[in-house]
Amino acid sequence: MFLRRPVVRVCLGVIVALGLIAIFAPAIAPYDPVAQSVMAANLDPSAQHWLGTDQFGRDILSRIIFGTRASLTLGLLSPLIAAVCGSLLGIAAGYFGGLADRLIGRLTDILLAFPALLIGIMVAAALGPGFWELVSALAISFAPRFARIARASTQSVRAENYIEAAVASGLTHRRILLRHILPNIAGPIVVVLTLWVATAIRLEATLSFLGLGTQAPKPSWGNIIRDGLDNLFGSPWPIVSAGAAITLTALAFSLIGDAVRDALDPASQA
Amino acid sequence: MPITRRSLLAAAASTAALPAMAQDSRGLSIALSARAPVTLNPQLTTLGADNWACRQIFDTLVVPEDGTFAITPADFRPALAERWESSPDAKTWTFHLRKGVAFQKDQGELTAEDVVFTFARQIDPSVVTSAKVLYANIAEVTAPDPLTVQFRLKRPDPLFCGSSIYTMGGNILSKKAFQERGEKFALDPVGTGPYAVDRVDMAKGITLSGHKGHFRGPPATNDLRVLYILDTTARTLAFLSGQIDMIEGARTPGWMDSIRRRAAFAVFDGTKPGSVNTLQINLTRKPLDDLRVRQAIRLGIDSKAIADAYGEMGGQLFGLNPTQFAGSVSDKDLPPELRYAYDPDRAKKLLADAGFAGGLAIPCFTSQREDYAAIMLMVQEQLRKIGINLDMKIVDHTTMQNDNRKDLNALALLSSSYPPVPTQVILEQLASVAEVKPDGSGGTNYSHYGVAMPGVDKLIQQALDEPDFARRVALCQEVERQVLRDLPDIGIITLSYVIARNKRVDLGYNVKSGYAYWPLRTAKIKA
Amino acid sequence: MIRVIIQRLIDAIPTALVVLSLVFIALHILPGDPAQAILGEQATPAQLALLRARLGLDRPLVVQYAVFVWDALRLHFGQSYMNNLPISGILAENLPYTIELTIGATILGVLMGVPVGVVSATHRDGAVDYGARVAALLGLAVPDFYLGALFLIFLSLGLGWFPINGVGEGFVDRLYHLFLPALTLGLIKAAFVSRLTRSTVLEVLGRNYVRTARAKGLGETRVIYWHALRNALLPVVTGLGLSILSTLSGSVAIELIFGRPGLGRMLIDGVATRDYPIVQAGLVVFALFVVLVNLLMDLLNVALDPRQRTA
Repeated sequence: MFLRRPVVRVCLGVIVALGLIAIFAPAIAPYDPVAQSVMAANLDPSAQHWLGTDQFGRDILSRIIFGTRASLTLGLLSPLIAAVCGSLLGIAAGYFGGLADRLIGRLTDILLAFPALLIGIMVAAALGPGFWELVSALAISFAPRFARIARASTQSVRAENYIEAAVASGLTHRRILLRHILPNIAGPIVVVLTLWVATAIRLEATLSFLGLGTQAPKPSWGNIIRDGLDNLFGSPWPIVSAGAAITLTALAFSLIGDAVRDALDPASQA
Repeated sequence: MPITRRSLLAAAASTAALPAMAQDSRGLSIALSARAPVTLNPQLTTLGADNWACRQIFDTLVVPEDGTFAITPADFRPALAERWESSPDAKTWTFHLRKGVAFQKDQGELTAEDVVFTFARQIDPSVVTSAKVLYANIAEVTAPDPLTVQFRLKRPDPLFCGSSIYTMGGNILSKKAFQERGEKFALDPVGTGPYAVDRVDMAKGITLSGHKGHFRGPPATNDLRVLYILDTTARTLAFLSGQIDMIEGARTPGWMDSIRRRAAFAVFDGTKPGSVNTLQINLTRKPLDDLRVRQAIRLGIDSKAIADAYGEMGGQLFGLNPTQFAGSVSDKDLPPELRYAYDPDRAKKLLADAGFAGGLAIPCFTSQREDYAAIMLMVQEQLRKIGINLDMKIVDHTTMQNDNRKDLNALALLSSSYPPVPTQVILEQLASVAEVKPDGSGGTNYSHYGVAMPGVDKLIQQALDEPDFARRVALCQEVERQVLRDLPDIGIITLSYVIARNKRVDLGYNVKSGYAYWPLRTAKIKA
Repeated sequence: MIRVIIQRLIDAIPTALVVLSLVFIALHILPGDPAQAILGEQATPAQLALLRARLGLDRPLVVQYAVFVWDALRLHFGQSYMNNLPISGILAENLPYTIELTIGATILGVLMGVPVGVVSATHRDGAVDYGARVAALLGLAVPDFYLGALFLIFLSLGLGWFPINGVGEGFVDRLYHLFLPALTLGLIKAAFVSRLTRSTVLEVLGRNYVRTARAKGLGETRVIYWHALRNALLPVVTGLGLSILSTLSGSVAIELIFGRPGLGRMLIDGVATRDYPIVQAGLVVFALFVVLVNLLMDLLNVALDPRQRTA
């Protein structure tokens, strides 16, 4: 039923389109995104270069198109990894209780107190630049969110009578976790996951903008803005268009996130 | 604050021209690319912006003509020293100081003791200073009388004025003030220069005012602000809006053109050569030990195109010494086999001969600083066309320096600003004693030239023992040719240091070459 | 109340230790050597070693850790590696700019966000509500630094309405310089605040006592502003308080864009120059803010909601 809402359809359309652009970037992009041309630096938009060129004479449209790859993979991958790792920790804490629970609970509380961006900056600075480093930085800053949700959900499910019965009947922990706990807490985790994709995309852009993210010459929307800021007087187009791409993508994902939340958790509907 | 008639006139003239900024006590302002003042002790600065301030606060014994580099021993002019002479073996240098030179802030008159104090710090290994290597040749500095200073050198140096005296660390400190202030000297310095520091503010930069007692008279404009604005855009905007008179340019392709398009009032002062950008090839990494691969790299890099991308800022580099320096070589006087004009086809053929017909990947890293990143991105793109894929990480500047010094890089770009002394680049990048070590205790010879393969150590020693300037230059050219044969180190381009200046400011001279800072003593705002 | 405060303060101790340890670990994973950063790439090895010894970087890591924790607990930050200035002074210089930016952004955010949220809720599904919701969604999607860059390009550079960088001198000039950066963060905050206000007001309007009030014949305006708003206040204030932290972290990029000094700038610069004392101090101050804001919000909750007082 949530697929029937026009907003959701439009957003899904946008996301599918972005996915296709990312996958078929080499076929769609009019130019090689790293090919330089000294003679064609800082051109204004024209029929040849729809968004003009940057200070190295690289085609901005092609860079934005290829940048979709970095932003989408990071935006999807890092919340996913955070969800898996965070949930495992949270489930373990909520299910087994005891010292592990206290430690993990405490740690997530502490990390949660910090804005994700700040943790991202710290981790990214410590790990240095690179794709997996960036994924780790984003995943680490998101993981506590998942851990907390998973822990709380697990605790409430754990308290249900049927779990007690299952434990009493001698089912293994693994079975209980897989059969009973996981299906019951999957909903809230998926909601958080979809909500954080948009944040991940913006965070990737921010870190790249601060010089801690995706590396040149590989384009990402964040580092296109960073490069663009150094060359603002050459051409404002990289900033304007890359920022618009980030905004559009984040908007699509957060609307989908809201819709998923409304669908899975009707109580929160406003 | 002392107000002189001249500064009043200058202020009046400038407010007339700029009614909108009338309240802005028209001093000069210059904004440089840096975060915040670090130290105004000229023996410790490594920051370009601090150097700018130091150049105004202190004086050296001798100077070149304003706006130039002194390339030969005859090009130097008196400053704190009125005259000087050297022994025939170029190992003893005697400087006769000007009489009655006043330090700022009522710190007395300059004597030979201050000069001895300054240089003794440089040659004392237990004192931390930043450019010790420039003074390593000094054996002893003494003061036979209060107005005479004598340097005894370990080895002859016909260009001693260039290699050690006219350097940032050769600026004369006030011994008394330095000892009294201790660490505080760094932000409350005392020199003899035309401007004295009034205030150092981490957020707003340095405020200076004219030193009335300067030996050449007070500066043309009394008030000077040296601002620290790291962000290129912010700096450029401040310049375009007229808030700031001079800004440090960005060393990125197209920067000058983009300013020109937006500000008719912009003029550019640039040094030639500026920074020397060389690419060291690590001879201990396979297959970079293969001469054919190195030749392919050399032929595959179109240094003219890179230089052209920078417009007037860029200069092509043939050997390692820039063409403006004595001791350099250029295409005209090189044998044909050492000319390496851009030739991607020959490069591909050489790679195929070396067994890399299908291409080759080289991992390397460089700094995210704008000049490093831009040059290496262009090199990467050019090498891609001959089948060499630079698997390049762009890391922050400190990380790059650190990892370069630990022998972790296969292709290390190094941007340096050398004094116009032909032996300098050779000593720092080619001598085997400067070989890089994995534990970081080595120098900046990142190629291992002279160790991984026979190098030019013998020629270097010969050059260093040569008291005659012309013969020394010839030996340096011999080194350059040998390096072009072996290719451990490739000259890419020189990159001018550029300041954009509002044309209402008259510097009083033209900037042609020199270090990345110049005197503002004669600068004034035109009516 | 006092018991709550004491309890929270005791809770903050392990938090502080964990944060300090994380900071220390992060700094020492960082590749790059402060001595090299100070003396430059072409420094001689002997000079580097000498400087490292002077900075205490040659001591065993355990010793460095102990010294670091001890100093941090006493809020004794030492001197910057770069210019030997006392860190307390550098903090005192930078902190006000970040605080004024955060306060400015919060004020603008509340001034724009709360009224929009209330109108949105009371005129649900009307034109204002629809527009506000779209704007809020946009505000939550747009990266703050992009918004800042757009303002800079169009308002400062294009139209020349605002100064370009720096912080200004004197009260009026300072506010003038503050406006665009604060507006950037404020708009994003307004998006958050208006959504929060809208949903809490809607929720309260649906509650029984509001219905009762309406049934009693109270005017609609009175219902909204007296009953609904007062009860919606608590979640909004709490949410607002916690959002101060994200504004604080957002200030990092904004300070960079607008060329302002501040805590975030100081931190990023410290990382770049490997000025460990600066980074340590910056992060400790950030952490203090986090603990403080959380504590304040807890206390506010207790003060505004009598039911929690016994908890």
